[in-house]
Amino acid sequence: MGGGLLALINLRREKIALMGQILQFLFSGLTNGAVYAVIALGFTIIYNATDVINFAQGEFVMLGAMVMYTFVHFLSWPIPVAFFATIICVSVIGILVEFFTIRPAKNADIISLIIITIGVSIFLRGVAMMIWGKDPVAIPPFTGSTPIVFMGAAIDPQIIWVLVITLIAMIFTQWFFKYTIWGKAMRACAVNKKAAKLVGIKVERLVSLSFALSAGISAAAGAVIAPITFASYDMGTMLGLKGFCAAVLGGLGSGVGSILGGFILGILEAFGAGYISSSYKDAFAFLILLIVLFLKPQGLLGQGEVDKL
Amino acid sequence: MLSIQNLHVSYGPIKVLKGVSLHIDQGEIVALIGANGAGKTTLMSTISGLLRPQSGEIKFEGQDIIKFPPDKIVKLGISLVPEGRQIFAPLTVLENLELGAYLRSKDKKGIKEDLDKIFSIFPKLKERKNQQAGTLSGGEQQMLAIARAFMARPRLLLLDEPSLGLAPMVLELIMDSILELNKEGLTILIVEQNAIKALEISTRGYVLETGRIILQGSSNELKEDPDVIRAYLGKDYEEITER
Repeated sequence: MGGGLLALINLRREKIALMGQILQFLFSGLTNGAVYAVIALGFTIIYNATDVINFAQGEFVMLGAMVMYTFVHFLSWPIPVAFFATIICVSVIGILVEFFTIRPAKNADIISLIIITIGVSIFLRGVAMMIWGKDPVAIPPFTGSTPIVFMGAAIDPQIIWVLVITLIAMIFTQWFFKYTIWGKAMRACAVNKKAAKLVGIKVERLVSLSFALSAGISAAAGAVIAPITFASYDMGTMLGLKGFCAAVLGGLGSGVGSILGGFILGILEAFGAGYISSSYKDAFAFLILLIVLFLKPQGLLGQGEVDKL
Repeated sequence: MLSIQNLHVSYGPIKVLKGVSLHIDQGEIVALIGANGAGKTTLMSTISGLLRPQSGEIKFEGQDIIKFPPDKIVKLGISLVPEGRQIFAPLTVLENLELGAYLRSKDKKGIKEDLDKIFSIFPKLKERKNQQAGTLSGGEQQMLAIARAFMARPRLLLLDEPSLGLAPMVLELIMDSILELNKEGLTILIVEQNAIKALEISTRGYVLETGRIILQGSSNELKEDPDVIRAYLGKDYEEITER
């Protein structure tokens, strides 16, 4: 009888441990997913305004982390001030990138413009390496580092910050597109540039704004995950690619789609890494990308190019 | 109000307009008729600032507007309803109209008034204001395109082929609304392949053929002109010579 009780307790313990493990994976997936979602949203904003896939998107995330590090570590600014200053700073960098690289080449075809963005990403990475060096740097967490224990899972408080801030970024972007005249004008530009010009919209100005917005939300994501992942000059490459996978998964051009794509990607990746093998963690994203491109090239919520015309 | 002198426009090596001159006075409805490829749409795009001419002069109320970008031309009071409507299909009807008033988006009260005015002219648009514009019928989309241009408070409205792909009954409705807008004080330049309709509602007309104005006069004169009848009004040659 004593043995039976022990077995029962063991079973219960295992069950709790299993619950805890699943929850742990889920949270890790949600965290990464939220970051991918914001980066995917960044891709979508620029894609809708210019038809260009901006492969320097990941570098905006990296700059977010690095600029945040500079403000917190060297200038000792309080975290909220540093955070908002980072967003503004990187948004300005976004505008400059558009002004000096995309705008002068505006008559070039889309492929050339995309290649230009790859150049920009290499350039930004190089500059970052010269400024901040090659070694990863640590940023202190926003509010302490004592894990919160929740149903057998230990959750880093920074994870809550990631979820909250990325959620705000997503809601802000959706609000911007739905309720402000600039947001509506951007959607109009995405649909029909000629008609947009005919109602008096200055398309160039909106393209600038789209780069600022896209860089800004990516920087927010970078600044908020840096305390978890460390920050380094080359952190943007993989994040950018994952964000791109998420955008394609959700359907390039769809805002809600990119958010959905980001979360699906993050969660699948976390469970894949947990239950199959963590060495394949990065491969899952690309595997999913390939499967999507084979089975449903327009993505989950995408309109497809044909419908867009 | 608008005067165009000796306008030359090319697409690359192809000369589309070869010295077009015309003028429009305050309060008129002027028709520009001509076959496909005569350069009608090119002329409209040039006036709106989408295309740059090689040479010539476009003056709006005495001001040279030839180097102005489209947004500045809209601001001055010229709005184009482009060929094929070009509405923002995934946006709602209301959003389309709000974007029509983009340059004066701070003037909330004025926009409200203009929306009321538009909804009284096109009650169908009011019914469907929260619907995606792409789900409207062809005629309703044309109404929306006209309404969107109207929201910029233009003084001169350019209409490029408003009859395109519309059923006769819907066309009648559109033409009536154009007359109504004219009564509200809007000056209108209407470009049409459907010459009968255009000459019916206009006071004067021009005939454009392969980049040149070959004929001009009052709409009634043009309707009687044997060349116009043969080429654009679809009557048989013999029918005319018999008369």
